[in-house]
Amino acid sequence: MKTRDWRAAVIALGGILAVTGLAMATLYAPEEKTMGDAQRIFYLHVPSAWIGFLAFGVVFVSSIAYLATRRRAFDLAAAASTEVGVVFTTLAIASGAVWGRYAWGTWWSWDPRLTTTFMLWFIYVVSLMVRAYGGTGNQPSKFAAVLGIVGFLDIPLIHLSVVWWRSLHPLPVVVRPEGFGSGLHPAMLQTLLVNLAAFTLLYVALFSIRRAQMTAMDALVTRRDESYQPAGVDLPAASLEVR
Amino acid sequence: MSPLGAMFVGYAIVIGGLFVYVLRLHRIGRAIETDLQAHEHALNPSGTSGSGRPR
Repeated sequence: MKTRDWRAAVIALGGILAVTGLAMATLYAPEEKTMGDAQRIFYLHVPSAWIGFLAFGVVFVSSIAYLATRRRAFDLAAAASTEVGVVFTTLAIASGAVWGRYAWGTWWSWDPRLTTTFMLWFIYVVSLMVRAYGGTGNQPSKFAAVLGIVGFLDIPLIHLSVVWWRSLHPLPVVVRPEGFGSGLHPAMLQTLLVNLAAFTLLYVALFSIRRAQMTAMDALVTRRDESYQPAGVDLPAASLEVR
Repeated sequence: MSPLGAMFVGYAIVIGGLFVYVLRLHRIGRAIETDLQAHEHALNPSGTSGSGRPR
């Protein structure tokens, strides 16, 4: 199967699941007692945050592989996954702000969960900036790889922040010691899992496309460098004379 | 903000954000293709391949 074929299949399946998930979130999942329909943001907010974690997990593994082998392919994978992860984390923070405005009466609060999530987002935005403005050579890639590894260590902290410290943010309702999804109504859990599957497929497609684009850009820059001839090298001698 | 209003704004942010990013990737992809074509044209201005046929 060609790359474009499987990518199209992933996008089609992801699209079907996303439409199903959205319909389930709106029509199938029961209304929550205290927050009403506003709680339905949960079905897009939580998958966005989790896919951000998945993306940064890929960055973590790729960064270690890059530092160990110095193979450009790992660096490009880390760069692509960083970008997609920042997009999903941004959406999680933004949708959470809307939910917070309704539930807590404020768009933002420096509570442990929100602060540690902001730190995660900030570390990977810095990583993207290092890649964009860090100059040429391997140095930006090495710095970005170190940031990719350090940033990932924040993820367990995000999960445990609501357990360790007093927080406005609700305690975990899905991943908890009592059992997976034990804090949710079964229909809510099913809706969440369908949306999570849709977002996972979307991540796979976006990551694959972005990585392919970065690889193509990299190859183009290399070919340009190889075929580049400084201006004036082939000029006839007469054109270099000073009048 | 009503509960329903909050729900729709939350949905719009996530769906709209993903749509904008996909659009950006599409534009980047087109720009790369244009760059590749320009580079190949610069290397081979006559537009002919080794066989002498137009590419």
